[in-house]
Amino acid sequence: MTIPRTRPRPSCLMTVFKRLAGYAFNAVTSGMAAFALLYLYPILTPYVIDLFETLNTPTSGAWWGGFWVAVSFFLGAVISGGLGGVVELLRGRRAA
Amino acid sequence: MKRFFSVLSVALILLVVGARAGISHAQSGDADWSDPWSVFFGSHPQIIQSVFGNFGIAPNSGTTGYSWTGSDPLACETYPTGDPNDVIWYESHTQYMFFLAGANSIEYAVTYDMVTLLAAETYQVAGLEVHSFLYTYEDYPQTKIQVAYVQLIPGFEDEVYGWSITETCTETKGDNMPDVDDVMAFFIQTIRNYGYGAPADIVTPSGPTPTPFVYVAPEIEEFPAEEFGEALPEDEPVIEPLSTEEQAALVGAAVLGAVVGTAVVQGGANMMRKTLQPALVPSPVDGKLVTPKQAAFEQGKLDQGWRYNPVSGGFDYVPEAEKKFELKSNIVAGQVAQVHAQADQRKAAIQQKVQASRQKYTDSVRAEMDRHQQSYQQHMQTAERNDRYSSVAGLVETAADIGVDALAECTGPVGKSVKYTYGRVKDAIQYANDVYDHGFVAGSAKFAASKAYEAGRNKGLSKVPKPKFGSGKDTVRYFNVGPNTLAREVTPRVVDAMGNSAVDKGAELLVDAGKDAALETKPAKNVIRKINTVLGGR
Repeated sequence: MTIPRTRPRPSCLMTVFKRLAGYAFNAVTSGMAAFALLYLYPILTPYVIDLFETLNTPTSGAWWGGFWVAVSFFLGAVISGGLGGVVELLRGRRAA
Repeated sequence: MKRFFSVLSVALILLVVGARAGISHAQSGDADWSDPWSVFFGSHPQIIQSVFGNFGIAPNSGTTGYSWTGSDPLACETYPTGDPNDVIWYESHTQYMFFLAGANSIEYAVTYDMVTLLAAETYQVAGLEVHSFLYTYEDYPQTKIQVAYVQLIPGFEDEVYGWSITETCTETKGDNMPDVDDVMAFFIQTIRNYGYGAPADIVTPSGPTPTPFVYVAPEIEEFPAEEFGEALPEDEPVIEPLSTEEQAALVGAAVLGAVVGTAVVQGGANMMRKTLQPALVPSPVDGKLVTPKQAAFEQGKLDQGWRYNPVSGGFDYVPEAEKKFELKSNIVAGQVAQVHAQADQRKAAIQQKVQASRQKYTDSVRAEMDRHQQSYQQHMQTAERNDRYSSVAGLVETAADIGVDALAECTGPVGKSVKYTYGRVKDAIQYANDVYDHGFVAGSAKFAASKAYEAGRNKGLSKVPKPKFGSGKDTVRYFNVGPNTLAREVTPRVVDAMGNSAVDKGAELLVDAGKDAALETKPAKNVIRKINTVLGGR
């Protein structure tokens, strides 16, 4: 009986599991971001209106939607990136 | 229902209305201090409000009518069925107190159809004559009305002031409203405190006299803001709820952001991992530099009893040694151990030799592989260089062909012979090349086939109309050519010839490209194979 010298590679099942875990992670963080935005929307709206007025920018239409879409994108990236960073830190600590 | 005045009510009305007949006195306008009581009403509303406040009614800007707030509906127990919602009279218990100024007000207060006078009296308060009545309505006996008034200035029948107190549902429950006589007494006393005396000693007032103002503020119920509707300040912006499409867009952006965030973190982590990759360590099996994980893995395998096989490049499993039978006798045990030791020594020696042999074989194979690797790289470089040379040579050949054509065109018979000789030399070179590449028989066959193809091609192309450059000069004198002739005749001729030759070359290249493609077809391959068979080639 002979086994190769190099370490065994992760199995196909493990690879699939990791991929699914990544999808689930993205879905959960996206949901968190969406809920955070729906919670923040009524709180931030007065300040956003003030901001737009300060910038002399119309507060309706594409600007409005674009702003919230950008905020949503930003929230998703921050939450996902933050949690992902924590996960990576834990992985690195465990590997070390 | 036909209504009628009762005798007493008519008498009452006659008493008041008749007394004021013919007297007209303006109540409004500038203050007339010769008639201080006319000033009283307009300049001292606080007297009125003091009276209201003393009896628990909030003063306000008006001076005519007030009602008690928070009336107790249970004070009106005229429910025929016992259900408080099923009342005979008003839905709730009501009380009103009105200040009556002038004979008209008094008359209005006591004038009503079907009045039933319950009590009436006249008495003196501080030298003033007070008239007091208590009556109800025949068709509304649940209501009791008290009216009292006083005529402040004798002879001025219009200067009458009084109070009316109305309460419903009093006949069954009783009377919990203030006595109008008490109200009148307090009213007159208040007037006296403000500086007005009895009719006998009326003087011009010198200003109000401070008096304890007893005011019982009514309890004000606090209502939630919701009951008043959208009573938000104007500064508050109206936040419109998100529509379904907007929510979908935001969720989509969140998903996209999450994906991007994860990707960024993953990429950064991978970069950090590569950057912070630990230094390589020697392998425990052969000393090569490997990663610490790999070294730990190999060490773990060795610890588990696996043995590294350098030939196969893997770990061989070594089964556990069979359990040895231990003898109790020390002599026999020692001999057995000695035999085992010798066997182990021989086994180790053999294994060492086998190992050395394997290592030698492995090294030789590796050396061969390295040599082949180097040879392969050299061949690849040579092929690449030759390919480059070949393309350059093809370019040079085409240019030479065009040049020879031009020369032949310009120089007449000499050029023609040069062109012929050039063509034969090219043929010889091509023939030698084919023989070198494909061997004598196959090379000959290829050359013959190529020449036959070229002949056919040129014959076919000669029938194809091609653009011809022509200057109209068919012959050129090539002896004693002066500069003018060179410029006028030779140069255009040479340019035309080179152009025509280039067109011919281009046509030939096009046809050759078609030939190369056609030779790849199955019928063409069959033909070539038959030719080769006939010629004895491959």
